[in-house]
Amino acid sequence: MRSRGLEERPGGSGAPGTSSLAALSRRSVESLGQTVATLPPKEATLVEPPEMSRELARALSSMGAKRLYSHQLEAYERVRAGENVIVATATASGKSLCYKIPAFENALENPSNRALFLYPTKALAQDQLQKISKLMLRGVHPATYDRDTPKALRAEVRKRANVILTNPDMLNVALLPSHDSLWADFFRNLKIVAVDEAHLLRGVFGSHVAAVLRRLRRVAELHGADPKFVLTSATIANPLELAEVLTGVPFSLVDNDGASSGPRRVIFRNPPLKDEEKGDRRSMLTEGAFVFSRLVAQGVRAIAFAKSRKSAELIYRYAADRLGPELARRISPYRAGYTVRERREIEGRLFRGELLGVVSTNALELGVDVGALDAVVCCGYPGSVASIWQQWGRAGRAKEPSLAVYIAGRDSLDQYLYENPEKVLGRRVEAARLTLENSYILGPHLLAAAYEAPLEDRDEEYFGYAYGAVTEDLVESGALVRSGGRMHYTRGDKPAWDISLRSADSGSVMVADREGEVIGAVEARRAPMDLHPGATYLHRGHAYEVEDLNLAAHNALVRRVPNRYYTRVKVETDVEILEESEKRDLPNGAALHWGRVRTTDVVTQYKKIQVQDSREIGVFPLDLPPTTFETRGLWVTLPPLPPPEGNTRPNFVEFLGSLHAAEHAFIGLLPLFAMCDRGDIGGLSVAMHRQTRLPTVFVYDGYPGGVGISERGYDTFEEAARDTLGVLARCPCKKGCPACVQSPKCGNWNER
Amino acid sequence: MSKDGAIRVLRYLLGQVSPPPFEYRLCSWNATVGRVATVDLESKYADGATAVGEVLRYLLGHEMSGTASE
Repeated sequence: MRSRGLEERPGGSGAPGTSSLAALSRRSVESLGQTVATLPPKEATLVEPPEMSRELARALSSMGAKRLYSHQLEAYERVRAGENVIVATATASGKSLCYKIPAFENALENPSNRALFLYPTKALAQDQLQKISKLMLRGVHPATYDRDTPKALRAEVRKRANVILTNPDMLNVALLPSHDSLWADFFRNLKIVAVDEAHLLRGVFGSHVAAVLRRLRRVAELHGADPKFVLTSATIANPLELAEVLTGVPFSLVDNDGASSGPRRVIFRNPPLKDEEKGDRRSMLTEGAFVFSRLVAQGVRAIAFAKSRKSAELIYRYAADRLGPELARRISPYRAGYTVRERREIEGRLFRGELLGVVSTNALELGVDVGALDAVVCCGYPGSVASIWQQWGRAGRAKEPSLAVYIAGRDSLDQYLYENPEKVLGRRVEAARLTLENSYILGPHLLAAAYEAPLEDRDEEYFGYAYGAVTEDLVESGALVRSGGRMHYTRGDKPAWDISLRSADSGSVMVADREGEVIGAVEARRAPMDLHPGATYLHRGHAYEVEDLNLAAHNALVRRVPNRYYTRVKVETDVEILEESEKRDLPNGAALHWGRVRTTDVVTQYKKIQVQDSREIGVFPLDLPPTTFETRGLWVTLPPLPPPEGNTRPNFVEFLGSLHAAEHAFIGLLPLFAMCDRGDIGGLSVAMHRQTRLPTVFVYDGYPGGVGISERGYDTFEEAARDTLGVLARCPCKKGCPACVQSPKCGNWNER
Repeated sequence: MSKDGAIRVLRYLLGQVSPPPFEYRLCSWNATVGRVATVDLESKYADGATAVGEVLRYLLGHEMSGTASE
């Protein structure tokens, strides 16, 4: 048998051997869009495996591979030499073996040695458990430990399993708080901590996970352990920096990808313009359904990715209509919200080749094995270039050809990428950013850490230089008490239980219907925008109208209504500069600044818009208290405007409209550099700011304390501004459209 | 909201206002005291303040070439 490298990409399934793309005619391919690249196949760099136990060698051999990819060997050797390693190679390049091989080798050497594998989702942990179990390694006892683990089994898992597969949320609420009772033996023997899909650990979530990993290091040290970290990541601009900020320890980077890949044709498609002046294009969803159904109709095994659950359902419905009843039975939607059983059934049918295609949200983007697929249709920008590649990576088996389609949406970033395919295909500029300096995030974790063991001054080495100030505040507020040179947590409950790793602040407003049933929750600072009286609140496809919002009691009362209207608020924003940390000059007397700011939002009005035809029904006043938070932001100052000359006065309305439009366009493109959502960024433009006394444009992190977005904007300002200018110059609309200067979340309704 | 204005703002911030289509370049603008500190020697304008005014008028959407106040 021919030896191949150790990869875990789809294709080991029982699906037919040849690519279904062979059925596609050249004309059919051309009808899908514009071919922007044909990526050549890449030969694998295979190396002899290192000396390892006979048991592990047998298991690896049973996978049909006797040799390793070069990056797998490099990672193994570095880990065995005591280094922390981050592996940043392509999708389906066998990254997970980089941590599995050393972890299994440890377990086989001594069954007491433990490993912790962290995955961003439970589904991914389950999928990996199945893969590990198939290896049948005697002496390696893997088990998942998450909220789905039956309570009756948990004690057995803690006792027997030497490879625990879980997620950061469970580490936060279960493992760490009980380290000295239930998990003492585990932490004492912990040798390897693996963090899979580390590029997803950015922004608020990443900042929380960084704090959890610092707590983990501290707890491990309390038990006398010194685990090594192995992180895997998609290709991003800053993998090494990400790993080091996440964990606080030095890392080695392994990014010399030794895996093979087949040829990949990359097609970009832009929905045609319906109205050139307004820049209005045909729907990305109907275009996605067209491409997907065309592929399926010709027997191509395909997956289409949509940005939201609703979009996935709609693309599926449109495609099913196109395909007719017989072929429609061979496609399925897939998304979070389905039961576990439904999802396993769809995955199984896809894996066995019973389904030809599936329309999915990003639920299938991560490595759940769905067998052999040959084409991927990516409907809209999924939030990062790394995600586009991950989605494309779901197609293509071994050296077989694959087809990758990107359909641009109406947003500026979508249109920008359509115009600049090299931004997707070339060097990565997006960097995953997070922070340990956000007191709103760090504070609750320091309480959790104090619960795990009283804090000492030397714990700064785990939690960074914000540690001193944040613990001072916690002592002052009474949450921590100093005694015997340490800081103690004295309240009885487990503080980690109050931390949601997916949110910047712990406060939330509960949404209840008239029967008193809680149907959802909204972050407290978002409540005036999303839950003001009269607001339409959407939940699982149903519309509710907010009848009452009680911010003091943290609840909102809603009633079910027909899905006829949606609402949009008008927000008055103020930004106060608290501290300037960085500054540099820009051309023409302008300057760029970065620092601490305080934002205040007051929701003053809302308008009601008919869903059916986007007709405005009316504008209604609101009387709500302001929402204030401190964050980080950049601001651009321009020289003062020229004084009036004779009868000529500067057109300030036009000028402010220019600044406002430039701010929107810049914010629209910043996610390409800062790996965030547009909704994570706030902005304000003023013709004269009361502090700078100059025309000023603010762009700030939309989270209390900040998460590194505006810092990335400051660092890459010129490049981002140049790209923004390119978007504006190339946009075919006349006066501004959603693809260039209009923002879907503008507090001024894009009016000024 | 002005798309053309946004283009002007970005070109201004990126220093693309000068050289061409404008033949001068401002080196430094002292915002605190509100006057030009130095002016590029290439400037065809002897009066730096005029040059600043021109660029700013450009920012405001006026035509260049000395007709800004018309």
